[in-house]
Amino acid sequence: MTVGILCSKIRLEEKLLFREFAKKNIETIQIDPRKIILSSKTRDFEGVDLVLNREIGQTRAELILDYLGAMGVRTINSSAATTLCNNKILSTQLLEKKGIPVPVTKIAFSQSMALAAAHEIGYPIVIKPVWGSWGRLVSKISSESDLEAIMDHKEGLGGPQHSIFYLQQYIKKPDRDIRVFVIGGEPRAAMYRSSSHWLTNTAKGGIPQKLELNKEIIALCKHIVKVLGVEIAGVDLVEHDNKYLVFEVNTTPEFHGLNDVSDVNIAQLMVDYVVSL
Amino acid sequence: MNDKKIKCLECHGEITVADDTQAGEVITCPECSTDLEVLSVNPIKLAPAPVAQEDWGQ
Repeated sequence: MTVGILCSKIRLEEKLLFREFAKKNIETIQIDPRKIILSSKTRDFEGVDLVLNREIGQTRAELILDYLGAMGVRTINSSAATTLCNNKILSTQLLEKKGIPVPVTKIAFSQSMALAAAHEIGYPIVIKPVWGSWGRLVSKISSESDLEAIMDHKEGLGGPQHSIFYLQQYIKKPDRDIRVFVIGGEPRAAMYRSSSHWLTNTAKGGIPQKLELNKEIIALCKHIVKVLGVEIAGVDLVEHDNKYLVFEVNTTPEFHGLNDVSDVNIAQLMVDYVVSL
Repeated sequence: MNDKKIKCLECHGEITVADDTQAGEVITCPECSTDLEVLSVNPIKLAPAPVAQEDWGQ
């Protein structure tokens, strides 16, 4: 078996994955998007049985997964699941439609409708990019005038994506959220990410702490990944009113923080899953 | 251990490159904190690390 690992940057996660594949004598090829040319005659993927996406640049990752899907190359995750999860509009709406609890979310394509949507949700609200990670450009907004200012600034950034307004109910959480790591449809490890700041992403300084998976989280995450069609995922949850809400699902999740606090070896479990296919 | 030494592109300070370093890793100069991408390991070639893009993440 030969596994292509799609990545331009070797972070700790990718290094651990390469090591685990080597331990199992599985041949790996790093496929760096910056070093390939895609065409109908592309040979970079010849002999590759499966491509594991670990690319940090989400736009090019989606395009390459789309290409590979069209060419009949097996990828993890699939291009369809990746596109669905990366697009917060699609994933949030689909999860809600399937009865999975998510924060109240509304999308608007003009400032006037965004103001109306925010009024319906009720302040404070959170505004997020439709595509984005690490808490980047996520803002908590307490009033209509703040929202007007933020929207002006967003539109000033340029690019059509900044004129799409993804508005969400602000969830008052207990200074932490939850990351669940799912492999092959099964939740395998989880952690709290704690911070006194309202954004608890580890990229924003959230501190990882071990969380024992419970039956409710396991059942919820199994349902989520089934709905979205993801095989390997980082599911972000938050505790609210004695239940769990889903914030988002990541298809190329980082796991260095989770590895530090968990009893399981995430990279090994990922490799075991890939090899089992 | 066969760690290698190389000069930082920015400040010419000494950087130690661990023997298990792979092409594609980003290392940080201990003297000036510049991030550098390892382009190749044999021989070691460095370049300024790519600047984080708006769509980087997960």
